[in-house]
Amino acid sequence: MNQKEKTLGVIADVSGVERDTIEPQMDLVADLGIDSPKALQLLVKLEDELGIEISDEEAARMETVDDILQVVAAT
Amino acid sequence: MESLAAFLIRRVVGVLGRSCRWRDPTGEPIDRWIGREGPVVLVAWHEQAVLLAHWMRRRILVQGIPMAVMSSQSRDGEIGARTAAGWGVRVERGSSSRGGSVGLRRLYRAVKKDGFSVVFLVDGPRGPRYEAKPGAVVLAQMSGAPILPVAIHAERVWHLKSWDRMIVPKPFTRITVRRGEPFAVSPEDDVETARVGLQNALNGLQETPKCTD
Repeated sequence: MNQKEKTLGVIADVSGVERDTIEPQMDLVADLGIDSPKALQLLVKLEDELGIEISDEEAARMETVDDILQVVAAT
Repeated sequence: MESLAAFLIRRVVGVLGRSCRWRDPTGEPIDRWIGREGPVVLVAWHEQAVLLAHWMRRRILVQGIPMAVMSSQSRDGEIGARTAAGWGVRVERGSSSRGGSVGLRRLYRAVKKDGFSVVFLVDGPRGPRYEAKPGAVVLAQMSGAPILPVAIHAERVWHLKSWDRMIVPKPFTRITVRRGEPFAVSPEDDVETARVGLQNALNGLQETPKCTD
Protein backbone atom coordinates (compact mmCIF):
# COMPACT_ATOMS: atom_id res chain seq x y z
CA MET A 1 0.00 0.00 0.00
CA ASN A 2 1.48 3.41 -0.94
CA GLN A 3 1.48 6.58 1.18
CA LYS A 4 -1.61 7.98 -0.52
CA GLU A 5 -3.62 4.83 0.11
CA LYS A 6 -2.47 4.68 3.72
CA THR A 7 -3.38 8.34 4.19
CA LEU A 8 -6.86 7.86 2.77
CA GLY A 9 -7.25 4.80 4.99
CA VAL A 10 -6.44 6.85 8.10
CA ILE A 11 -8.84 9.61 7.02
CA ALA A 12 -11.60 7.02 6.49
CA ASP A 13 -10.87 5.38 9.85
CA VAL A 14 -10.99 8.65 11.80
CA SER A 15 -13.96 10.20 9.98
CA GLY A 16 -16.02 7.03 9.72
CA VAL A 17 -16.65 7.81 6.03
CA GLU A 18 -16.29 4.99 3.47
CA ARG A 19 -12.82 5.04 1.93
CA ASP A 20 -14.14 4.81 -1.65
CA THR A 21 -16.36 7.89 -1.25
CA ILE A 22 -13.55 10.20 -0.08
CA GLU A 23 -12.56 12.78 -2.71
CA PRO A 24 -9.52 15.13 -2.67
CA GLN A 25 -11.63 18.29 -2.70
CA MET A 26 -13.65 17.27 0.35
CA ASP A 27 -13.57 19.71 3.28
CA LEU A 28 -12.35 18.02 6.45
CA VAL A 29 -14.88 19.73 8.71
CA ALA A 30 -17.92 20.26 6.51
CA ASP A 31 -17.77 17.03 4.50
CA LEU A 32 -16.00 14.60 6.81
CA GLY A 33 -17.00 15.92 10.23
CA ILE A 34 -13.41 16.13 11.47
CA ASP A 35 -13.65 18.44 14.48
CA SER A 36 -10.76 19.32 16.81
CA PRO A 37 -10.70 16.00 18.75
CA LYS A 38 -10.88 14.01 15.51
CA ALA A 39 -8.15 16.22 14.04
CA LEU A 40 -5.91 15.20 16.94
CA GLN A 41 -6.67 11.54 16.23
CA LEU A 42 -5.98 12.10 12.55
CA LEU A 43 -2.64 13.84 13.04
CA VAL A 44 -1.35 11.34 15.62
CA LYS A 45 -2.39 8.37 13.48
CA LEU A 46 -0.88 9.86 10.34
CA GLU A 47 2.42 10.43 12.12
CA ASP A 48 2.43 6.99 13.76
CA GLU A 49 1.30 4.95 10.77
CA LEU A 50 3.25 6.79 8.09
CA GLY A 51 6.33 7.50 10.19
CA ILE A 52 6.26 11.20 9.38
CA GLU A 53 6.21 14.44 11.37
CA ILE A 54 3.67 17.14 10.62
CA SER A 55 4.42 20.64 11.89
CA ASP A 56 1.82 22.84 13.58
CA GLU A 57 1.97 25.21 10.61
CA GLU A 58 1.24 22.38 8.17
CA ALA A 59 -1.54 21.08 10.42
CA ALA A 60 -3.13 24.51 10.62
CA ARG A 61 -3.22 24.73 6.81
CA MET A 62 -5.03 21.42 6.35
CA GLU A 63 -8.57 22.17 5.25
CA THR A 64 -9.22 19.54 2.59
CA VAL A 65 -8.26 15.93 1.88
CA ASP A 66 -5.94 17.18 -0.85
CA ASP A 67 -4.14 19.45 1.65
CA ILE A 68 -3.34 16.35 3.73
CA LEU A 69 -2.18 14.40 0.68
CA GLN A 70 0.14 17.24 -0.32
CA VAL A 71 1.65 17.53 3.16
CA VAL A 72 2.22 13.78 3.35
CA ALA A 73 3.76 13.73 -0.15
CA ALA A 74 6.11 16.57 0.81
CA THR A 75 7.42 14.95 4.00
CA MET B 1 -5.26 45.90 29.18
CA GLU B 2 -5.22 42.08 29.21
CA SER B 3 -2.08 42.08 31.37
CA LEU B 4 -3.72 44.39 33.90
CA ALA B 5 -6.89 42.28 33.96
CA ALA B 6 -4.83 39.10 34.49
CA PHE B 7 -2.89 40.77 37.30
CA LEU B 8 -6.09 41.88 39.03
CA ILE B 9 -7.68 38.44 38.64
CA ARG B 10 -4.61 36.80 40.17
CA ARG B 11 -4.78 39.21 43.11
CA VAL B 12 -8.52 38.76 43.68
CA VAL B 13 -8.33 34.97 43.40
CA GLY B 14 -5.37 34.95 45.76
CA VAL B 15 -7.02 37.14 48.40
CA LEU B 16 -10.39 35.38 48.24
CA GLY B 17 -8.83 31.94 48.24
CA ARG B 18 -6.61 32.67 51.24
CA SER B 19 -9.60 33.85 53.28
CA CYS B 20 -11.56 30.65 52.66
CA ARG B 21 -11.44 27.45 54.72
CA TRP B 22 -10.39 24.61 52.44
CA ARG B 23 -11.41 21.02 53.10
CA ASP B 24 -10.28 17.90 51.31
CA PRO B 25 -12.41 15.01 52.57
CA THR B 26 -10.10 12.42 51.06
CA GLY B 27 -7.18 13.62 53.17
CA GLU B 28 -4.83 12.31 50.48
CA PRO B 29 -1.56 14.00 49.56
CA ILE B 30 -2.05 15.73 46.25
CA ASP B 31 0.66 13.70 44.53
CA ARG B 32 -1.54 10.62 45.02
CA TRP B 33 -3.96 12.32 42.66
CA ILE B 34 -1.62 13.93 40.22
CA GLY B 35 1.86 13.26 39.05
CA ARG B 36 2.93 10.17 41.02
CA GLU B 37 2.01 7.64 38.31
CA GLY B 38 2.53 10.06 35.43
CA PRO B 39 0.42 12.83 33.95
CA VAL B 40 -3.37 12.99 34.24
CA VAL B 41 -6.12 14.81 32.35
CA LEU B 42 -7.87 16.68 35.15
CA VAL B 43 -11.45 17.61 34.20
CA ALA B 44 -13.91 20.01 35.85
CA TRP B 45 -16.88 22.19 34.89
CA HIS B 46 -16.09 25.67 33.55
CA GLU B 47 -18.10 27.37 36.33
CA GLN B 48 -15.43 26.27 38.82
CA ALA B 49 -12.50 27.92 37.01
CA VAL B 50 -11.82 30.46 39.78
CA LEU B 51 -11.99 27.83 42.53
CA LEU B 52 -9.89 25.45 40.50
CA ALA B 53 -7.29 28.13 39.82
CA HIS B 54 -6.78 28.82 43.48
CA TRP B 55 -6.76 25.13 44.42
CA MET B 56 -4.18 24.38 41.73
CA ARG B 57 -2.03 27.23 42.90
CA ARG B 58 -2.07 26.28 46.59
CA ARG B 59 -1.91 22.49 46.24
CA ILE B 60 -0.37 21.53 42.88
CA LEU B 61 1.86 24.23 41.47
CA VAL B 62 3.61 24.83 44.80
CA GLN B 63 4.80 21.23 44.63
CA GLY B 64 6.33 21.81 41.22
CA ILE B 65 3.91 19.47 39.45
CA PRO B 66 3.92 20.62 35.80
CA MET B 67 0.44 21.61 34.57
CA ALA B 68 -0.84 22.80 31.19
CA VAL B 69 -4.17 24.22 30.01
CA MET B 70 -5.75 25.17 26.72
CA SER B 71 -7.15 28.68 26.53
CA SER B 72 -9.42 29.96 23.77
CA GLN B 73 -8.17 32.50 21.22
CA SER B 74 -10.82 35.04 22.25
CA ARG B 75 -10.09 38.18 24.32
CA ASP B 76 -11.43 36.41 27.43
CA GLY B 77 -9.13 33.53 26.56
CA GLU B 78 -6.19 35.96 26.35
CA ILE B 79 -6.92 37.18 29.88
CA GLY B 80 -7.28 33.60 31.10
CA ALA B 81 -4.04 32.63 29.39
CA ARG B 82 -2.09 35.50 30.97
CA THR B 83 -3.61 34.74 34.37
CA ALA B 84 -2.63 31.07 34.21
CA ALA B 85 0.80 31.79 32.76
CA GLY B 86 1.45 34.18 35.65
CA TRP B 87 1.02 31.23 38.01
CA GLY B 88 3.49 29.11 36.07
CA VAL B 89 0.96 27.08 34.09
CA ARG B 90 1.89 26.19 30.50
CA VAL B 91 -0.81 27.63 28.23
CA GLU B 92 -1.65 26.42 24.72
CA ARG B 93 -4.03 28.55 22.70
CA GLY B 94 -7.00 27.13 20.84
CA SER B 95 -10.51 25.90 21.57
CA SER B 96 -13.19 23.67 20.13
CA SER B 97 -14.30 26.61 17.99
CA ARG B 98 -11.02 28.28 16.88
CA GLY B 99 -7.60 26.77 16.35
CA GLY B 100 -8.60 23.76 18.36
CA SER B 101 -6.74 21.08 16.49
CA VAL B 102 -3.38 22.79 16.89
CA GLY B 103 -4.03 23.71 20.53
CA LEU B 104 -5.18 20.19 21.35
CA ARG B 105 -2.17 18.71 19.59
CA ARG B 106 0.19 20.91 21.59
CA LEU B 107 -1.53 19.73 24.76
CA TYR B 108 -1.08 16.15 23.57
CA ARG B 109 2.64 16.78 23.18
CA ALA B 110 2.77 18.42 26.62
CA VAL B 111 1.31 15.24 28.14
CA LYS B 112 2.95 12.61 25.98
CA LYS B 113 6.42 14.03 25.50
CA ASP B 114 6.92 16.52 28.33
CA GLY B 115 4.98 14.78 31.14
CA PHE B 116 2.63 17.67 31.92
CA SER B 117 -0.75 17.03 33.50
CA VAL B 118 -3.55 18.92 31.82
CA VAL B 119 -6.59 20.76 33.13
CA PHE B 120 -9.70 20.69 30.95
CA LEU B 121 -12.83 22.73 31.69
CA VAL B 122 -14.86 20.35 29.63
CA ASP B 123 -18.04 22.37 28.95
CA GLY B 124 -16.01 25.39 27.80
CA PRO B 125 -15.33 27.69 26.21
CA ARG B 126 -18.98 28.50 25.48
CA GLY B 127 -21.16 25.71 26.82
CA PRO B 128 -23.83 24.39 26.94
CA ARG B 129 -23.33 24.31 30.69
CA TYR B 130 -22.64 20.82 32.12
CA GLU B 131 -22.30 19.28 28.65
CA ALA B 132 -18.84 17.77 28.27
CA LYS B 133 -17.09 18.12 24.92
CA PRO B 134 -15.00 15.20 23.67
CA GLY B 135 -11.57 16.90 23.61
CA ALA B 136 -10.44 15.67 27.04
CA VAL B 137 -11.54 12.11 26.23
CA VAL B 138 -9.63 12.03 22.95
CA LEU B 139 -6.57 13.58 24.57
CA ALA B 140 -6.66 10.88 27.27
CA GLN B 141 -7.17 8.17 24.68
CA MET B 142 -4.33 9.28 22.43
CA SER B 143 -1.85 10.06 25.24
CA GLY B 144 -2.69 7.19 27.59
CA ALA B 145 -3.07 9.58 30.55
CA PRO B 146 -6.05 8.78 32.81
CA ILE B 147 -8.94 11.19 33.29
CA LEU B 148 -9.34 12.58 36.81
CA PRO B 149 -12.73 14.22 37.53
CA VAL B 150 -12.59 17.01 40.13
CA ALA B 151 -15.31 19.21 41.62
CA ILE B 152 -14.79 22.10 44.01
CA HIS B 153 -17.70 23.40 46.07
CA ALA B 154 -17.96 26.64 47.97
CA GLU B 155 -20.75 27.08 50.54
CA ARG B 156 -21.37 30.80 49.96
CA VAL B 157 -20.79 32.13 46.47
CA TRP B 158 -21.50 34.79 43.90
CA HIS B 159 -22.42 33.79 40.35
CA LEU B 160 -21.22 35.93 37.45
CA LYS B 161 -23.71 36.64 34.64
CA SER B 162 -21.75 34.53 32.16
CA TRP B 163 -23.01 31.47 30.23
CA ASP B 164 -21.48 29.17 32.86
CA ARG B 165 -22.63 31.27 35.86
CA MET B 166 -19.01 31.33 36.98
CA ILE B 167 -18.66 30.73 40.71
CA VAL B 168 -16.75 33.26 42.81
CA PRO B 169 -16.43 32.27 46.47
CA LYS B 170 -17.46 34.76 49.13
CA PRO B 171 -14.72 35.59 51.63
CA PHE B 172 -14.25 33.21 54.55
CA THR B 173 -16.55 30.54 53.12
CA ARG B 174 -15.87 26.82 53.39
CA ILE B 175 -14.62 25.13 50.22
CA THR B 176 -14.62 21.39 49.65
CA VAL B 177 -12.55 19.56 47.02
CA ARG B 178 -13.79 16.24 45.73
CA ARG B 179 -12.36 13.87 43.18
CA GLY B 180 -13.83 10.95 41.30
CA GLU B 181 -12.04 7.76 40.44
CA PRO B 182 -9.46 8.16 37.68
CA PHE B 183 -10.25 6.19 34.54
CA ALA B 184 -8.29 5.42 31.40
CA VAL B 185 -9.67 5.57 27.85
CA SER B 186 -8.15 2.79 25.75
CA PRO B 187 -7.75 3.02 21.95
CA GLU B 188 -10.62 0.53 21.57
CA ASP B 189 -13.04 2.52 23.75
CA ASP B 190 -15.87 4.46 22.14
CA VAL B 191 -15.24 8.21 22.55
CA GLU B 192 -18.92 9.07 22.97
CA THR B 193 -19.41 6.45 25.68
CA ALA B 194 -16.34 7.73 27.53
CA ARG B 195 -17.54 11.34 27.13
CA VAL B 196 -20.88 10.48 28.72
CA GLY B 197 -19.04 8.61 31.48
CA LEU B 198 -16.91 11.68 32.16
CA GLN B 199 -20.01 13.90 32.21
CA ASN B 200 -21.79 11.57 34.64
CA ALA B 201 -18.71 11.40 36.86
CA LEU B 202 -18.58 15.20 37.12
CA ASN B 203 -22.31 15.49 37.72
CA GLY B 204 -22.01 12.85 40.44
CA LEU B 205 -19.53 15.09 42.25
CA GLN B 206 -21.75 18.18 42.05
CA GLU B 207 -23.35 19.72 45.11
CA THR B 208 -25.78 22.64 45.17
CA PRO B 209 -24.28 25.63 46.99
CA LYS B 210 -26.15 26.28 50.22
CA CYS B 211 -26.31 30.06 49.85
CA THR B 212 -26.06 31.88 46.55
CA ASP B 213 -26.78 35.28 45.05
